[in-house]
Amino acid sequence: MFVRPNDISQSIDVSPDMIDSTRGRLLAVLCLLAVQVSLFPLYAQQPTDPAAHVYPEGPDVASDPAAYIGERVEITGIVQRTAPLVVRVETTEGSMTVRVANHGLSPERGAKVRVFGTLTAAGELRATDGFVVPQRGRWYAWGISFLAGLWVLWRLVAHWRVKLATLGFVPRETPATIRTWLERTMPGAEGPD
Amino acid sequence: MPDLLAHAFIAYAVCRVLSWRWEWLTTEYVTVGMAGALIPDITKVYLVVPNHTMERLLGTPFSWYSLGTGGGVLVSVLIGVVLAASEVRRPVGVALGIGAGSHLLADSLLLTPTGYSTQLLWPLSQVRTPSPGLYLSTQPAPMIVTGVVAAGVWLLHSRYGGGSRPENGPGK
Repeated sequence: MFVRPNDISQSIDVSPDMIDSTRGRLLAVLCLLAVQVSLFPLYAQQPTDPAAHVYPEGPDVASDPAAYIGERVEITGIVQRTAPLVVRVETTEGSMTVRVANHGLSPERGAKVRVFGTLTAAGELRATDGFVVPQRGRWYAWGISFLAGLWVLWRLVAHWRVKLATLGFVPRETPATIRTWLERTMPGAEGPD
Repeated sequence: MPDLLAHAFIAYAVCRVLSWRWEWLTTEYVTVGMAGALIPDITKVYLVVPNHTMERLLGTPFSWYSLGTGGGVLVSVLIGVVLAASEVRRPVGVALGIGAGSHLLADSLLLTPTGYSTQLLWPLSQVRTPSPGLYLSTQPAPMIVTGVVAAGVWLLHSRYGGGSRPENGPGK
């Protein structure tokens, strides 16, 4: 339970130096990126499987609405009309509208709704469950998430640096602070603690 | 997801509490844990470039959502591990894993229309984890609750556990 970084790295069996050179590191990153990229089409092509709760989604339905009649589908769309509820689903070929019945929701136009239910006809869904994601909530989530990204990025820059010789990340001996930067640029300023 | 700030708060609190037991988990690695908590949300790139735009561009089925599955997150974590210098690779991997894992767990509690959320084992298995549907990502409540917890942990740490004496931390 109680290990120091040095102890840990000594216990690595594979020679860690192999991917601690600039070229080795870049090569390893490229290989991993290739794996990551190969997952994009693989995920898009995964078969629907109600037993695993993987249902046809909006774009599947929109590409061939008749094929999914009678099936349970999951649809995310932007509200076009509220009574009756009509949502727009984006697809490769453009967009398609779906009428949602039995939803019990009262969304405003422009809100996002996510509904689950049975397709009763091409472009008609009888909902069994669903909820509204208000536009204001989406702005909130984007804004606050952006701030969180900046905060973590700042901490990373303050606590870590890149060894130029190998492009490897290592912890800084002393965290970078705005004060140390100021001190570097303005020699008379007060130093860090 | 709850919003990213909530995820960062959760990762901070978890890593900070663990740091009271694990001496190697210093502030630098708490930061790495927080960065790990952002990893599964790389999938949100679909908000900028939608899946259907990529499909039209490439002419092949395409989905960014793999980045939020167990397998996609593992590959992203490994990229972080490879970017770390060899002497710190193992602790970086552990911290990234804790952060990313905390994100996937929190996402497993999300409200979805089907009652099932993340695919933790994809591509090995398609199964989605059942979700109690506690919250929506667009609600501020999870951020406020996790923020209060993180602030509490931060206070405890700066009062009792800070600096060079982690053995004095309250997390025995």
